[in-house]
Amino acid sequence: MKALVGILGILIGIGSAVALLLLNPFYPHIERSGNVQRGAMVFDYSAAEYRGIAMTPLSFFGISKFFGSGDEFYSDGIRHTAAAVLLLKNQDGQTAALATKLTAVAETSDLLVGDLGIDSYWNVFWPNSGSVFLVGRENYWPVITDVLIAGLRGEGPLSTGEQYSVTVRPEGRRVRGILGSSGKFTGATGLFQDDYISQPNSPSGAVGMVTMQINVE
Amino acid sequence: MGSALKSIFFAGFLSAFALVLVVAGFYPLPAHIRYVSETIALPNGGRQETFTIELPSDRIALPKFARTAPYPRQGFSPDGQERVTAEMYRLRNSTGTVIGIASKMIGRVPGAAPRSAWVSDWILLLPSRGALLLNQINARRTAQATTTTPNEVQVTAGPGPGGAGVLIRGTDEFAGLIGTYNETLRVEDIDAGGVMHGHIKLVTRLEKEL
Repeated sequence: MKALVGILGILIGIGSAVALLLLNPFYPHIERSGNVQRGAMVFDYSAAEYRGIAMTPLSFFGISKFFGSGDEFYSDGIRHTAAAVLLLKNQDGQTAALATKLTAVAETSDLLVGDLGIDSYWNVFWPNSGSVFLVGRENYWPVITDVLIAGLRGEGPLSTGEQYSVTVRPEGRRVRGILGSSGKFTGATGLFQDDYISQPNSPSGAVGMVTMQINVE
Repeated sequence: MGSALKSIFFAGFLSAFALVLVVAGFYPLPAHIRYVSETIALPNGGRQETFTIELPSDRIALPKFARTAPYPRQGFSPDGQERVTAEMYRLRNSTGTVIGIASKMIGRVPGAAPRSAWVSDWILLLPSRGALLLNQINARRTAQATTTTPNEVQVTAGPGPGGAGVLIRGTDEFAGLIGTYNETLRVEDIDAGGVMHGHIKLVTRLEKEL
């Protein structure tokens, strides 16, 4: 009897702690990265090429290598990174620009404060016009916790179309936002916001929407 | 429930609750391997660091289709006249160790030269150190590199001093630095399948912004 009560206490204790972590009431400093205003450019994007870590709990917890994730890089120096070529479509559905996006797992991630971070670097190129770089931090904690909660409930992956604002304001990071590179965007600055939209059948498991407010000087 | 059973229950509850939080706090989340920076000190107080890309082995292609990507990797031409190409690579230090990933985008832009010019943007992402965001005007004779092999061409032709490319910005370890770089393409051979063998060398010269 004593053993059963002890085991019951342990199980409820584990469940309570896991629930506290997943439904963290002190949930983190997630906020949209900036005050992207009306008039900003909005693009839907999908990956024409994607290679590297998938945005799944296995990758974020560093155990995907034990499950034979075929798209990961095998070199030790880049194991927790990903590279993608993205087609950006405007709101009329027309392809407007081509982009690359390189990401690396942020080393400041912390489960106790709900931070599963990714440092992201974009290069967006408009044909015969110019190009910009985007530097940001993304927090996938809401995505990962929803996946885990769905798993605990015995449900499948996130349903197609689930949308998350993942770009956050990184504390203590000096460089972020939009940095103009060439053509008519040389010297430009600005803000951007990246939204993750679940699409389990796509190469990266998701498509996205990026909103850019570029200030050309 | 007797007081002894209550004590056992709460002891189990609290110890398990605390243990889960401790494990969460100390769980070894993924961290990047830090390699020693292979830099050379420059007379002006800056540092020179060389990155290389082996072709075709460092080209990042979609492995699901088990195909070797042609060069350049991807074209973008909404009306058949405008073209942007995007390529992705593994990035090595001067000793040949893979230390990061890189992307290169090439396209024509107005105003970069007396008339429109082909320019390239590079992102060099070194996961444990940060990223370098680079821009250059491309030399017009770059295509000659593929006509005769072996051959080596200087791809960079500005907009920095001496025809060098420029660092737009660095992040993390590279934040607050300014500098220039040069891209060189060495073509050893182009095989029967049209795949280029050789390497790209990026020589960066960075210093602290005053």
